Amino acid sequence: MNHHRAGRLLSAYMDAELPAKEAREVQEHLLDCEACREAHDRLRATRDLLAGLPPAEPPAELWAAIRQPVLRGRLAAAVPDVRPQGLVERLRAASWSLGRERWFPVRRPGWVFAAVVVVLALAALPLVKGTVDRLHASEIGVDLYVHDHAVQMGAAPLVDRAYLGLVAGDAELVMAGENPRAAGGRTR
Amino acid sequence: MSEAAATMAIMAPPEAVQAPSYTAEELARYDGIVQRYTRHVYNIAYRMTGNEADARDLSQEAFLRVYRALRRVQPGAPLESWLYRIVSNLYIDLLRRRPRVRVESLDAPIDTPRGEMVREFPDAAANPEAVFEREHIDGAIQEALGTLSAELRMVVILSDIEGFAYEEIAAMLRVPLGTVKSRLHRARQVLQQRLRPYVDARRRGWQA
Amino acid sequence: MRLAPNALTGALVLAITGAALAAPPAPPVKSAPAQAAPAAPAPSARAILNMALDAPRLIDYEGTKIITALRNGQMETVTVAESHKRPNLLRLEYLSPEDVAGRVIVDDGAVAEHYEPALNMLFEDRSIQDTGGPANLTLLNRNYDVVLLGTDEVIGRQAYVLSLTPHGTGVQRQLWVDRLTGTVLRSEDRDASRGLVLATYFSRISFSLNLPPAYFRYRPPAGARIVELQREAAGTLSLAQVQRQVGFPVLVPPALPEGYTFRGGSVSRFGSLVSAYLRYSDGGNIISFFEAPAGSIGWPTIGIPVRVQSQPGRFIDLGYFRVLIWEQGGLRITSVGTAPSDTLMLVAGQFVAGREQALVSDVSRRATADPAVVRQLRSEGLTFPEITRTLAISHALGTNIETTVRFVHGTLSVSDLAAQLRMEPDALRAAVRRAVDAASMTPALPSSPPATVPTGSSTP
Repeated sequence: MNHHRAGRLLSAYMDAELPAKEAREVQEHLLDCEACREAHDRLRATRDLLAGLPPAEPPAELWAAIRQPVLRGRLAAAVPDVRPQGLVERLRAASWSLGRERWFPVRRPGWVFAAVVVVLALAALPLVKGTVDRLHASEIGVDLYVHDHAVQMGAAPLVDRAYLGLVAGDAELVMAGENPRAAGGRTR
Repeated sequence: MSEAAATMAIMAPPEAVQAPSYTAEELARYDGIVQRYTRHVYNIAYRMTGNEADARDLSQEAFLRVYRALRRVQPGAPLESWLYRIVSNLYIDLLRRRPRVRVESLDAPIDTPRGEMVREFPDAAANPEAVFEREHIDGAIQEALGTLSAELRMVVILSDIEGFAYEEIAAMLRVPLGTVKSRLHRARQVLQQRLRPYVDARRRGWQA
Repeated sequence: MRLAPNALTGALVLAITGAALAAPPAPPVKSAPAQAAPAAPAPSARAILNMALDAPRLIDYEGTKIITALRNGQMETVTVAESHKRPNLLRLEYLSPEDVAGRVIVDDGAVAEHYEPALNMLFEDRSIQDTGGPANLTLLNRNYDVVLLGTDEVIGRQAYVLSLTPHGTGVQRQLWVDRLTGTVLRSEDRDASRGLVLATYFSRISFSLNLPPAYFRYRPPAGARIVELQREAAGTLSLAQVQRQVGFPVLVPPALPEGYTFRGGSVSRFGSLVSAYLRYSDGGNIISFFEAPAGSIGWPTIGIPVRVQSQPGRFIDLGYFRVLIWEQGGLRITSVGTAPSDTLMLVAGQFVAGREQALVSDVSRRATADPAVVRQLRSEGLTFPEITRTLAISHALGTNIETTVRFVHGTLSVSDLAAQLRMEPDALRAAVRRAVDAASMTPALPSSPPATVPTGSSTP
């Protein structure tokens, strides 16, 4: 077996996909040829890199969209519930085993702060200029931070200011104790 | 509104799938196919297209075909060949339909393919550099894959990422065994060149 | 879109289309007639970027802008009347949808006033126009590929189409820069996992030279409630200063995606809530960390519960921005940014793993540096990978740590440092790259150091 031919067969040799006779010939060549041993090693490393890639996780929406015919049907009850059981189970890193669904559709959160609404209804909090009592601060922590972050994004050049103003403005409403904007409609 | 229905309402595909009124058993069979193959289909579609949005579209379209042809599918029959060939063909259609602005580079990795899943981060012991290096490697590999032609890319994905044997790949893609061999070898050589530093690092790791 | 042939540089651009989301309304685009070739060759991408950055100082404009952004899992469309007077007066009046109509924001570069008519409330806040100084531009150029895609026509005006693609994890931005004035007429932001997350464009715009300054002042009607939010400039304190002011131990992120560096901190005060704020930027995007004593804030009810290592946390997807909250060691930590959820989880996981001391030893051993130096760099906000890189670069170039840190932070650009070292910028880039590659490509450290590594020396 000459050097060129062996070189072309290295991949197949590495994958154990050569017929016995050819494999032996390549093997004998490798014993004598450092260049081919190098090449074989590099191929092996390349293959390992690819094999080491974690599987790309399908996004939640894909599951829903693909299973749609099943979910739509009234016969959904007859289909085994694929949603995993508990929180920990749900969140464990997905294994590659077939048939075990580890995924559940992510609930797209709205900016509806149910708890805030309850708090406001129960204890009409007076808003004094510049100060907010402790209970209220505990409910709007996220908006405060999103607001600050949006303002800070102004430091990144060429981010749209009108958009940042929208986000910061929306957050300020909640920070001041008002209802947030729901998507597409007047809330107040 | 149930959680599933709410999610669907957000992401329902524009054209409704007119159900060729399937029985409960047939729907269950379809669901079984979905459970078994979705991850693989998506993974292949993702590695072929290099981005989530296209991978999602391709996967959806592929399963739409399955759904429509359900009655022609033998229960329990292995569907890999058929499914993955569909993905491959859909991808080629996508390329034809959509001219992309593409200029070659060595320096711009593609963002990592992690989906929206929020999950427990498994590897506390990983040192901080390795943590993002993984994302880096992933991006670099995906970019390198992107420089291959569709035929080469498909073969290396099926072989090295999905683990199929040469014979199986030949059957799936309907090409001679020799073609699989030569395409795979060529693909690996290109990848090895483009991923030189990672390949070298890996080899050093063996020697350490 | 016609591609200017000599403007294509060697950068990869993927036109990622957010096919899964409803397409936003796009401005009318006409392809330029074939015979109207530009008289002169197109400027470089960098030059166009600079033009866009300089434009606010040079021109006034007023126009109607359409914003389409991902929110609550859907694309929401907002219309706003936007006016700008050089150098930094901004007025935004939101026109639709109904629940934001009438909101007015005026910003003079220092203070922003936001009036909400339905509530008759005026909020006084920090300006959203802080451009963060030249360091941001250095970082932007370092961490993003800036490519000229070609020219396009937007609302009857010729525009250069610029693409900013991050090397690492971040937002890919496409900008349509007006040829005449440098104003951004249209923009699209894309995120790796979701495609298009933000699209904006002017449906009409006029460039006048003389908008009256009074237009940019806002006087609220009588009886308006005034809420004063913080007004001090944020993100300008060092970590040590923040630490001193808040009085609780402030944790530094052990690792972040490449390119993000500490750009300053501040103390956020809202009522009795005091939080430490750390800003990490890659020049085009920001990841923020807010730290407050656990128990000073409740858990929000939106979002989904997650586990960061074994700690409970919460992940909230707000569309463009994402939030990950968790607690550790008596601290509540909130990270906010436009990044894949996995990235935020990875970052949080590194915090919670709590391997600060072990990593300090690790890094100092690998870089043959004094652990005290490593600890000092940590207290300046550097992540461990940054420290490794800093030490490697300092070692390779012979620069002292302080200079190297300024370089890593982007305060010192490649050309500045090259001039200092009397090197060609390209040679400097190559040397830096070699040093960084060598440092980061080392396989994981075995349990005992290899015999060849010299012990005990610290870096110059």
